[in-house]
Amino acid sequence: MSYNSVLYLLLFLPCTLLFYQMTPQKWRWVTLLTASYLLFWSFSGKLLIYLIGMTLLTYTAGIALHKVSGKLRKTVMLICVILLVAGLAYLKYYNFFVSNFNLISEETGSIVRLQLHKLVAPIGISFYTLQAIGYIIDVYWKNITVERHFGRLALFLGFFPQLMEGPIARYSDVAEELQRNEDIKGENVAYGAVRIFWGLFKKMVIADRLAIPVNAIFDSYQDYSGVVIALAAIGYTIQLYMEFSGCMDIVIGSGRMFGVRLPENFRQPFASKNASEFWRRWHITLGVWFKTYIFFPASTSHVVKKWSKYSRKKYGKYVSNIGTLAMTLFPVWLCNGIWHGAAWNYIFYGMYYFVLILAGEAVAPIKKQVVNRLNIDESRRYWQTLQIGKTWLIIFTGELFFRANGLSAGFSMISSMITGFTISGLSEDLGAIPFVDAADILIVIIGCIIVAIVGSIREKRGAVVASIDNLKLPVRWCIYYALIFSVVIFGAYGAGYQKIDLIYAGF
Amino acid sequence: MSWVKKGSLFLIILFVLLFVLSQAFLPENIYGLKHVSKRNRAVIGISQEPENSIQLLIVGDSESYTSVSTMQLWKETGIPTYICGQPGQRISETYYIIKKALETQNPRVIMIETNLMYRYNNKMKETESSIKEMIKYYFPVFMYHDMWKAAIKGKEMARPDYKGFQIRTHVKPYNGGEYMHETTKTKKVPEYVSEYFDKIIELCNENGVEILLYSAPSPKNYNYMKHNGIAAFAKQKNISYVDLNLHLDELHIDWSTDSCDSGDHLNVSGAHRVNEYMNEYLVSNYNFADMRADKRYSKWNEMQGKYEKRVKTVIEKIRGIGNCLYRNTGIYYTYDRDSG
Repeated sequence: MSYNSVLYLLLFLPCTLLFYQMTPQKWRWVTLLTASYLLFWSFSGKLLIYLIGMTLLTYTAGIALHKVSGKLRKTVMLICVILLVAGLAYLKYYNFFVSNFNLISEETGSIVRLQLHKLVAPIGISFYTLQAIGYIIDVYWKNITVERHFGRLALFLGFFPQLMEGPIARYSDVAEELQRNEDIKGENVAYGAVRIFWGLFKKMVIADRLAIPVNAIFDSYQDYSGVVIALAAIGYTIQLYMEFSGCMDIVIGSGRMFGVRLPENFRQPFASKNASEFWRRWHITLGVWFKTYIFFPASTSHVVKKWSKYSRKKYGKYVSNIGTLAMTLFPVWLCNGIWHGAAWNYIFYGMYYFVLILAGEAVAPIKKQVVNRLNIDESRRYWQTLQIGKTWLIIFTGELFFRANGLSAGFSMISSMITGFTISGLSEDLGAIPFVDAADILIVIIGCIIVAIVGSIREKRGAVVASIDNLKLPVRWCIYYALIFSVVIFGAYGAGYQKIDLIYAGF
Repeated sequence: MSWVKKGSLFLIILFVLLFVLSQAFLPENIYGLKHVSKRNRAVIGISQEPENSIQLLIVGDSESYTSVSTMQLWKETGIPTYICGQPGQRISETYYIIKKALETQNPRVIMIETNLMYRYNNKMKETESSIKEMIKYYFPVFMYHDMWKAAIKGKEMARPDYKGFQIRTHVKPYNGGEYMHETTKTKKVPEYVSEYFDKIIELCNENGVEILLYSAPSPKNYNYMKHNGIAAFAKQKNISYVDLNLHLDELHIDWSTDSCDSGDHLNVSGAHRVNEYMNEYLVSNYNFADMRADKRYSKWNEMQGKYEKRVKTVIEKIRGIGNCLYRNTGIYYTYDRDSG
């Protein structure tokens, strides 16, 4: 029962809303928690026990952190974090580790072999594990007061709209609204419905339409020319953005119907002028999590402080800063890569951004000098467009490795793009891609333009849905109907299309 | 106006607009636009047949539209037959396709190919499928939403089928030998399918239509356990059941020539062998009227003529040299490259 399914949108969500409203305010958290566990069960069945167990651990550790003091607090926090990470690591990464260990054993002639296990990770494990770790560390840092109500903590970790794909909320962001249990309000339902249909538009009209040709090219890239592979990399980036951000719209819309404002996960990422900015606009909550719980602790760690002090004296400020940055960014980007999945291409993806961001910082002074010498006005549109273009190139290349069927396939595709980049025979190549016809291409282009316009309005004026609310009722309703019917008519669903699973739900 | 009232008004207008749009998106005719996916052509096809012109309706998955030739049935018995088959048809689709057909037709018999009776994922997926079918039934725009492509690409005529029958001309033998080993073991029909079937029975009873279950010859899809399961189910529901997999000798099925995909589906030669048996079965067990001389059915005769022209040599070749070619080359063979 994924968020874009008929069952979720027409049965599960309306029924939950109805039951929620019928439940006395004091017990509404029970309705929401029951609905959340029901949704979880629909995907992972008996593995619900893992979520409940993980919640119990987090709850107990939180209470313990509140009660104990001194060094014991750190021990409690560390034990809890280690157990949470161990659960995630075992279910998600054990077989990856074993496969690589066995490969090295084989290469070195060792007879030691580890057994692969048949493991099924519960849905959304990467998302709520990070939320649980964040909660425990926040309690340890005394940023928040401990949650003494088990049900409320369970709801924070398992709230159904964010169960599958996040956003990875911090306890301080959502706890209050989750506890408020306010009545269903017209404005919240309307806002939620618009966000849901906007999400469906991105997912069903654009992302699902792109999925079939993109998958076909990535799965047999050897059959296609460099230009087609480049187009596939662009297509996949658009597909991923439309799908993930579309899903976030559905998630945020669903949460809002219950009066819960979940944090935004995207802010026009394709308007970024460099890789760092891109990650401040793309999967924002993941970036914030890594910044809060890895980057900051790493920056203030004993090792980094010692290096900073030593290197500043020995090598000067510039080298010291770059070295310090490398030491703090490396764990962030390694974790970012691994978090996405147990495969080398994901690790490469993380390292790719680590190198690019570090290089960006390293050359920043030189770049500044060049810009000054050439009298370039960085606020001019042409310069900004160039920077955005450069960032697009970085994004498309990164996503190519992210989607490729393995790291070597990613390199082969890059090689094909460089050596086989010719536009002769392009129309034949395009004709050979399944499910590409003029009508579909046109809809994807129009869809992207609409999303870009809405994004641009949002960038300049803030919330778009709120501005629609200020319009007169007939105009407002016309916009709503137009949105609904654009999904109904132009959505890539039904006979002749494939059902496309949510990409990030797999992480 | 309270938000509940406003919301209700919004939904009412939405339903009205969906209804209007559904009418606007109905394709012009069955053989009409290519933009209607093959899966949905079965639905639009039966709706556009002249009212009350079909006496026998066949529904089911791909086994249904490859196992009985409507044109051969027409030629030999004069029974106007339409196959509303869809690849991988689910029981909820069967129900709604019958419901749709009964809006304009009053067939005497509905033959249901039984392979769909074991198509069951889990209750959740089946419920979702059921909701989708219901929505498509009441608002066909969800089925034909791709018709907007016609405005961009122009109207492309789809290749005609023969009242739902699809001609398969490939030969890929089945070499697995006997597959209906007698046993007392039973593979029970899933409860969800059984419950949906009750709805189909009720619908047919309301319309005075008899149901006949049949299992097309298919080593890949049938065995004796399934036979026992369906036979028990048919007995319980008081429905007639013919398992053609138990009549292979009478059908004269030759698995070296009559399957197009190693025993999953029959090719046109296999379908004609089924016709030889089923035509007689239908005439002797049901009271169909022979419509061949009826002027209202003159187009059926025309279509049958075209059909015969297309398949006659193909069947001869399949039965004559197909097996020999397969043995010599080891690859499966297509006789009629243009066929669908």
